[in-house]
Order: sequence, then structure tokens, then C-alpha cells
Amino acid sequence: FFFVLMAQSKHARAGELAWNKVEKINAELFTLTYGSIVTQLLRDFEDVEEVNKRLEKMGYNIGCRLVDDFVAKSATGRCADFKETAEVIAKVALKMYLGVTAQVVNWSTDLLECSLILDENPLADFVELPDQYRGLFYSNALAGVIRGALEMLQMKVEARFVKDVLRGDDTTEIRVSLKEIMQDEIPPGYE
Amino acid sequence: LQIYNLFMFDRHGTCLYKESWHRSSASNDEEKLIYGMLFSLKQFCLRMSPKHQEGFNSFKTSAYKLHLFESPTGVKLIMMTDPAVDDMREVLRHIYANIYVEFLVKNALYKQRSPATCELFVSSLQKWIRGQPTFASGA
Repeated sequence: FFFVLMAQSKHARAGELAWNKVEKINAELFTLTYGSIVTQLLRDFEDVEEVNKRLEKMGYNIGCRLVDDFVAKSATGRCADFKETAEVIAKVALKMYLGVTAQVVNWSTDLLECSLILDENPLADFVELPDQYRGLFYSNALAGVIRGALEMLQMKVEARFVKDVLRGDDTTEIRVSLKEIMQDEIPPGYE
Repeated sequence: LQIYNLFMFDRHGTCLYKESWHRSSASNDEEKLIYGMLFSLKQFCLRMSPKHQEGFNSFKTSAYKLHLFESPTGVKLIMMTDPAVDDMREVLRHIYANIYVEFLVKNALYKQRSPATCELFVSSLQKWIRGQPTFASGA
């Protein structure tokens, strides 16, 4: 138990350090910018499912780039296993980019699937979902960021929101499951 | 002590950038040779290692030394220098963290998996390399 505690506090410290180092922007500006993107998507597509998909795709593209910034700045080494990867996302990455942390819970028995519980979600400040948008996962970009970032680290994962306080759930929960560890690509013509 | 070449590959093996200095001869398709060799060498290191670790950093011939830096995202930076040059990984790491990430990855117009031609990236890289004490000493 002691070791688990030590490992956790190590990531929490790394998260604090990274958070102190990065440049900050105004929270209201950030939240309103994200909000206006979501509203515009809803106007353009008029279909909640399609908007969920687009938000995920946007997040994916962000994640593919952001991960290099994370690697360059966070000074966390290679993770030993997926368990550590989840901890680093929850305690270091979310802290560094959103100023919040998550709890990693509900591990599957094979340790390939877990949930990130977000106690706070700065994307969703000031947001109220009208009834006709009940199916919307407002912060779905976040799930995409996780998928994109991990793919660049050779982990194919599925990340999706399963609960969101905006939809009346008791918590905000992202389910992340590891599908495949990708191998180095073989150069063309290589035997 | 001189720097001869710099190559940059993404994790798919796409050559993002290459440049040479202080060389009298150069052959075509060098990047393909380098990438293929590196791939084999990494496999070799992995299979021969008693600890199942990769850990390939550099090798040396009588004419040059090859240095490798690889980020966890699979970006590979390869530099060839005079054989007497010390460890260059810190220099390569700086290029990755402060030039590749800042001027290429964060440039919204840059499409991943395509050669790096953005002016700001190229000029910053050139400036940094030329500022290295190893770049031209003894030239």
C-alpha cells in the first residue's frame, strides 16, 4: 500500500510541476471558445450524434500534436504499463492542460480497461444542456485527445464518455480501453 | 569536429527533414539507407540485449559518428558528426523539444507525415545547429 501511495504522489508532484511551468490563459475565454465551437457544430450538423463524432475527431487531431508537447515538457519517462499510463493521464496530463486531476477507477480484471472520473471539468463551466440535446457528449473532444495522444505512443485505445454531469449523471466518467500495442512500422522493401 | 548530416523521421518512417554540411560527396536515397539500417539495428539491439531493452544511442566508424535520439512518440533525429565528437543526444533532444515541437507540431498548417518546409522551423533549426560549438570548429 505504501508503494502505491508513493507512486501516486510521484505523478501528482510531476503534475504540479508541469502545471506551474506552463503558460496559462484566461479560463472564461477558453470555456467560451470551446462552447462556441460546440454551438456552431450543433448549428451546422443539426444532429447530436454527428456532433459527438466531430468533437471526437477534433480532439483526436489535437491529441496527435499535443502529445509531443507533453513529452517535451512533462519530464515523465516511459510508462511501465497501461496502469501507469492511466495514472499519468489523470494526474499529470489533465493537470498540465486543464488544471484538474481525475481518479482512475473501475479497472477490468485484465487491467486493460479503466475509468477516469473527472471531479471538475473546465470545458463545461457555465453549460446547461437543453432537453433536445440530451444525447450530446459536450466534452467529447477530451475523449478524442486521449485517443490521439495514446495512438502516437503506439497504444490503440478506445476512449468514450459514459457519464456526464451535464446529462444528469452523478459523475463525469471517461472509459478508456486498450485495444492494441502497435509495433514499429517496417520500412518498405524490408525483409 | 564537425557536423555532417541531420535527418528527421516520424514514426511511420517518413523523412521529415534532411540536411548536410561540410561534405564533399553525397549519395541519393541516403534517408532510405539510414532508416532501413536504423530499423535493423534497433531490432538487433533489442534481440541481443540480455535485458530485452533497446537502448541504441550511437555508433562510430573511422570517418563519422552517428547519433540517434528517439522520442516516445517515435520521432527519430539522427545526426552524423566527426568521430571524435562527444554525446550529442542533449543537442538532439533540444531540437526535438524546442524546435520540432514548437515550430512544426504547433504549426496548424503543417500536415503530419509530410516534409518539413515551414520557414520558421527551418530557419530556427539552421540557427541552432550553426550555433553549436561542434558545428564548425576546426573547419
